[in-house]
Amino acid sequence: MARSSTENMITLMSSDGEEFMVTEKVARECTTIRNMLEDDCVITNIPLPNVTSDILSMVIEYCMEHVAAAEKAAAETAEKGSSSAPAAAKANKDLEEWDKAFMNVDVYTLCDLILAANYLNVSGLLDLTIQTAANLIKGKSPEQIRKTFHIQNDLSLEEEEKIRSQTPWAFEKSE
Amino acid sequence: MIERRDTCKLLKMEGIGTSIDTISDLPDSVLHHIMSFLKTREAVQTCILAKRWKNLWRTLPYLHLNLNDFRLEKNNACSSLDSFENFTSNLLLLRDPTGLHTFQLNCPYRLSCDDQIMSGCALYALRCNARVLSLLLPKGAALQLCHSVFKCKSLEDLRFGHFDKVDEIKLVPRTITLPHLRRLHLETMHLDEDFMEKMFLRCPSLTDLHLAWCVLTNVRMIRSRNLKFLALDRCVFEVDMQLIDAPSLTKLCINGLEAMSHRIHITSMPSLLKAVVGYWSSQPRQSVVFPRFSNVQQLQLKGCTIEALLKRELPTCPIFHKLRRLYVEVNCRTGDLALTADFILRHCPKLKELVLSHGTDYCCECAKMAANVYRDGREQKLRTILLHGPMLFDKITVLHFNYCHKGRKTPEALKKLGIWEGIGATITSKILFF
Repeated sequence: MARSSTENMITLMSSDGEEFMVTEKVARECTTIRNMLEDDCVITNIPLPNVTSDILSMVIEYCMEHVAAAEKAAAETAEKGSSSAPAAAKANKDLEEWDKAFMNVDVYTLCDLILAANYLNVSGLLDLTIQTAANLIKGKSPEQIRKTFHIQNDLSLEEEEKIRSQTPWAFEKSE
Repeated sequence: MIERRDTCKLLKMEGIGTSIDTISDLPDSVLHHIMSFLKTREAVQTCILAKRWKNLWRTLPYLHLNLNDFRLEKNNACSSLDSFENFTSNLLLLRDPTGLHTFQLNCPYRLSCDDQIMSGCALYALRCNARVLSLLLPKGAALQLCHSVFKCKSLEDLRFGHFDKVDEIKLVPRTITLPHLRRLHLETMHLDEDFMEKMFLRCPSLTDLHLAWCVLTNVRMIRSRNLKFLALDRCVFEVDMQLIDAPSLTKLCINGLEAMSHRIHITSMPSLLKAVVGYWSSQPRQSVVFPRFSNVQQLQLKGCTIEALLKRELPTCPIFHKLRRLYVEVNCRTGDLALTADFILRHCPKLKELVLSHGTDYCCECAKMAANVYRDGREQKLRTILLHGPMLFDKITVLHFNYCHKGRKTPEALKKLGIWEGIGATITSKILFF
């Protein structure tokens, strides 16, 4: 069959059986899928048993936004011969803002996104989510961290004290 | 998609309840990745969160140890150093020595630092086959490591330096064996011909070389087929003539060469995209370099000798057909501006963006020059002019351009200074203020 003028569409299937039609370009943002496509170029239906539909839809949303931004930048470069630095800086800033808004999720969704980004190997999304998670930990007391991430403290008071006394060098008072 | 996200949130909140601890279900490698963005001490402190976290720090493959993170209240340097040394040595003693990827040891402190502890920590990283190693140490500790760092076969990225800017370490490692090294950054070292030769020979994967505050004795040439990025930052060459032969370079940065009578000869670099030239000698016998840069897309001129540099270069200057962005750091010479304008109008037909970085006193002159260039160069493609630097709005207040830009004070301020007419209303939109 001759290659159609429109882009190839790929169907991604989430763990709960929902199907998402995306362009090949968007799907290729996920390195895991890109590798599958490169191994077997006629594949059009990819089951993703590790990703639920709500998380997959967010991953796709992220990839689409970033593909669109990259395409826009490329189009501008082609039109003007080269991209001007202020315009590129503005586009970057817009995308950063979008990323920031995209990260306005609860910690459950954040952790699921980290897992999905890790499994699908979307490096930009992985960096973004990991950085967001790290920012939620930075500068917080253990109690605050547990509360933020709903971590159940399964250590008894004695055990906690024991760990502290075994690693006093890590808990020395500082600013 | 938004609705879906909300439902999912709701489901989790109401249904299974808040007791689900998803972060602890993440695999070790992902949690380590998260911990790598924390200060290493914070990462270790997660050990008391829950059983899942108890031993995670022991296998953390990314360690960033900075003395500055241990600064105590009242700036008590001695006790912060103690606590840093105590933390570092305990951490390395108790962690699982397998799998170290990144090790950064940054101790910008000269006095009373235990060299043995610091070099011991670095040796630990070398024994663990770290891939990314960054060591900025007091001189004594760095001295002890000179031989060992250059034979760590696992290294891909090495930064090695010390803090005594006036007292270089003579680098004469017995052997150099760094088969995977891609980036090398040396600071405040004394390098000789033998070292440079060996280094290029024994680091076949090297593509990025950054030398800062280094003294190079008898190094007559820097020659490499693979090098893509070369930066010589405030280096001193103790030879009269230097040859740079690196045909694959895409970026070259020569900044602050101190040997005043020094000449550099650069061979052809067809792939060069970006060149940075700064603080170059004003000596007339300095060789011209612009003909070698004629293919660049970005050119950056900085330092206090722009006028001398352009005077020397302009007579033999080629047309920069691909140059899109020019950055000039204007200093206290009016000749800088006149010659820069001349250079742009006669040699840069495709220039799109001009950045003039200036000190407080020169904002008016820069604005005027920018206006002239814009007017005279209307045939050209020049679209954007950026003035980068503090601006003197009146005798008392010095404001940064970006502050005024928001308040739309710029035109009034320029009118007050009497340069508004020079610029003209049509152009102001094209001149951006930072």
